[in-house]
Amino acid sequence: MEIKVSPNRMVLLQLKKQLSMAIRGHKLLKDKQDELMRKFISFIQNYRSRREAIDEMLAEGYRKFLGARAIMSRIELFNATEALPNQIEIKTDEIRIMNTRVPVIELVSMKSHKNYSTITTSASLDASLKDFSEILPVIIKLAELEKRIEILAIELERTRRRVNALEYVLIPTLEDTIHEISMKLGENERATLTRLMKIKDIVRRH
Amino acid sequence: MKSRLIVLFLIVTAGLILAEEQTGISVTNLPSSWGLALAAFGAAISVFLAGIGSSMGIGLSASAAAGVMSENPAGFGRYLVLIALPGTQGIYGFVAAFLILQRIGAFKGPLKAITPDQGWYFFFAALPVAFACFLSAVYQGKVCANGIYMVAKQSKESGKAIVMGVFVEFYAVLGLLVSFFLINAVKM
Amino acid sequence: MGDSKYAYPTGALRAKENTIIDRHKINSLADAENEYALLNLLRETIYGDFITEETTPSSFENILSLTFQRECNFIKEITPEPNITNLFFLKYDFFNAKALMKSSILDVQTENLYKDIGLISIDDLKSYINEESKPKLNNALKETLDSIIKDKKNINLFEIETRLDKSYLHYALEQSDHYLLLKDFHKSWIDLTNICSFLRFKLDSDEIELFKYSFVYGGYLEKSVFLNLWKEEMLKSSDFSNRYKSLIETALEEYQKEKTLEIMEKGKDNFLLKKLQNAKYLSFAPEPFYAFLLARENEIKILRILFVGMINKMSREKIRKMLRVSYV
Repeated sequence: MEIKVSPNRMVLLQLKKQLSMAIRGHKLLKDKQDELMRKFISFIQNYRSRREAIDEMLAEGYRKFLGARAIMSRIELFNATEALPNQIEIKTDEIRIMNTRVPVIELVSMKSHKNYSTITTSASLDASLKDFSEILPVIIKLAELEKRIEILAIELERTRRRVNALEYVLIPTLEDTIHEISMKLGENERATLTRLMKIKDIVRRH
Repeated sequence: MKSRLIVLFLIVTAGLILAEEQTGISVTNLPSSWGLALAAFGAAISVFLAGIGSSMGIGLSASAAAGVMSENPAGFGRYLVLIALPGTQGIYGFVAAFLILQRIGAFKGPLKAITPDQGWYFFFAALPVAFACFLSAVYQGKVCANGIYMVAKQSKESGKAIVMGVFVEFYAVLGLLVSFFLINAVKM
Repeated sequence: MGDSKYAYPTGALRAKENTIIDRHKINSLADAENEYALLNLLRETIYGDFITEETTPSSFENILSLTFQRECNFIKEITPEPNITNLFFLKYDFFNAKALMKSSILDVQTENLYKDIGLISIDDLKSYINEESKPKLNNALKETLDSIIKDKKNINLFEIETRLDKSYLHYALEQSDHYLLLKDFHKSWIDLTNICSFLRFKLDSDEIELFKYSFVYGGYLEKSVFLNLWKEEMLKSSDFSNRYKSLIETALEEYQKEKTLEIMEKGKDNFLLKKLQNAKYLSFAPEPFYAFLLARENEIKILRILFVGMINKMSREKIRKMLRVSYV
C-alpha cells in the first residue's frame, strides 16, 4: 500500500520526516499504553478484592434483613423502612491519570436517624440497616473505582487503536511509499545515466 | 341472681314473722287452714327452686354445646348426656313436691286436715331438696359446660366429663333423700 | 347471670382452638423439603381455604393475612366482652395511625396498612390525621394523635412512632386492670419491651436519650433499674428481675457469640404466649378470646419464618432457632 504522490525528492524528504515522527509517536504511545495497562490491571485487582468484600458485607446485611423479614410482617417492615430519611451528601471532582480525566466521588456526610419505634420492630432490622449504612461509603468508593476502570478501558482501547494504526498502517505505508519513491528516483537516475551514456556514445561515434 | 332468690326467701319468712307480730297470731298458733297452705308452699318451693336451678344449668351446658357445634357440628351424641345432666335436679324437686302432695291427699278424695305444726314440718322438709337442687344444678351446669369444652378438644374423654358432673349430682341426691325421709316422717 | 354470656362463645372458641397448629404439626412443617412441600402441608390446615391450585409459595403473605382477617372477624362476632378483645384489634389501629401519620409528614401515599383488622376505618383515621374531620376515635389514640399534631413541626418520625406505641401499651394495661392474667401479661410485655429497647440502644448504638424516650412506664421494672445499669460494662441476667432471668441469660450468651438479639425477641414472644397459655383453663372469662388471637398471631409468625426461611434457602438450624413455641 502506498500513497499516491509525485515521486520527487521534495516529497521524499517530507515523507521521511513524517516517518521518523510516526516512529517517535509510536514509541510514545506504546509507552503510554503499557503504563495504562499497568494501571488498569492494578485497578482491576483492587476492584476485584473490594467487590468480594462488599459482596460479603451485603450478604451479611441481607442475612440480618432476612431475619427481620421473617419476624415482621411485610406491612410492618415496609412501613418501618419506608422513606428512610438517610440524607447523604456526595461531592464529585475530577483528577488526571495519564492525561485522562477520571472522577473522584467523596461521601461528605451521612446522617442516619432511626425513624421507627423500637417497641414494635425487630432488633434484626437495626442490625441490618446498620450494616447497610456501613456498606454505603464502601459502595461509593467502589462506584468511583468502577467508573475509573471504565474510562481507562476506553482510553486504553483508543491508545491501542492509535498504536496499531501507526504500527500496521501508517508506518508501513510511509515506508512503502518512501521505498517506492526512492526506487523510482533511482530508476530515473539510472534512466538518465543510460541516456547520457547513449548520447555520449552517439556523440563519440560522430 | 342466686343472692336475690335467697333475699326473696328471707323476705317471705320475715313477712310471716311480721304478720305474726302485727296480727297477734303466733306462728305456732295459726288458724288450722294455714297448715295446708304451708304444706303447699313447701311443695311449690321445691319444684320452683329446683326447676330454676335446672333450667339455668341446662341453659349453660346447652349454649356451651351449641357454641362448640357452631364450629364443629359433628358429635352431638357425645354432648347429649352432659347437656341433660343438670336437668335431673328439676325432677328431684318434682318428686319431693309429688310426695308432699300425696301426703296431704291432693290426688285422692278431699284434702286432709293439716295443723299448722304439720304444715311447717312439710315446709321445712321441702327446703333441703329445694336448695340443694337449686345450687347444685347451677354448678353442675358449669361443670358440664366445662366438660363439653373438654370433649370438644379431646373427643374420647366424654366419660370422664360425665363422671365429674355426677359428683355434683350426688349432693342433689342427698338433698332429695333427706327431704324424702323428712316428708315421710310427718305424723298425720 | 354473667356466666351464661360466656357459655356459647367459649364453646365456639374451644372448637376453634382445635384448629391451632400444634407443636408436632409445626415440627413436621419445619421438616418440609422446600416451600412447595410446606404449602402442600398447609392445605390440610385452616390456611388451606385460601390455597388454590395456582397459589405459589411467594404469595404466602396473602394466605396468612386473609386467614388472620377471617379469624379476627370470627372473634369480633362471638366475643362476649368486646372491651378486652378490642384491645388486641386496637393494636392494629395504632399501627395504621403510625403509618398514616408518617405518610402525612413525608407527604407520600402509603399502601402498607392493615385493612379490616382494626376497629376504626382507614378513611376515618386518615381524615382525622389530616385534620379534615373529627370522627370518633378511641380516647387514648385521639389524645396521642392530638399531641403529635400539635408538635408536628418539631417532632421526628422516631418520636411519633414511639409515642403511639407507648400510649397503646399504657392504654392496654389500664384497660386490663380487672383481669389479673391480662394485667400480668401487659406488665410483662412492657418489661420485656423495655429490656429489648435497653439492649438494643445500649449494645448496638449506645444512645441513652433514645432509650429514655422509648421507656414505657407501668411494668414491674422501674426506669431507675435500667438507668443504673447503663454504665455497666458486663451485663448479668441477675441485674434485671428474677422474673426474666433464664430468658435474659440465654439472650446475653447469644449476643456474646453472634451479636444478634434474635434469641431475646424469640424469648419475649414465647414468654408472653406462655403467660396467656393459662387462659386455656379459664372458662367463663374474656381472657381465652384474647389468648386465641395472640395464639393465631404467633402461629402466623411461625409460618412466616418457615416460608421466608425456605424461600431464601436459610439453613435448617437457623430456621429452627428462630421458631416460636406453639400455643397448643
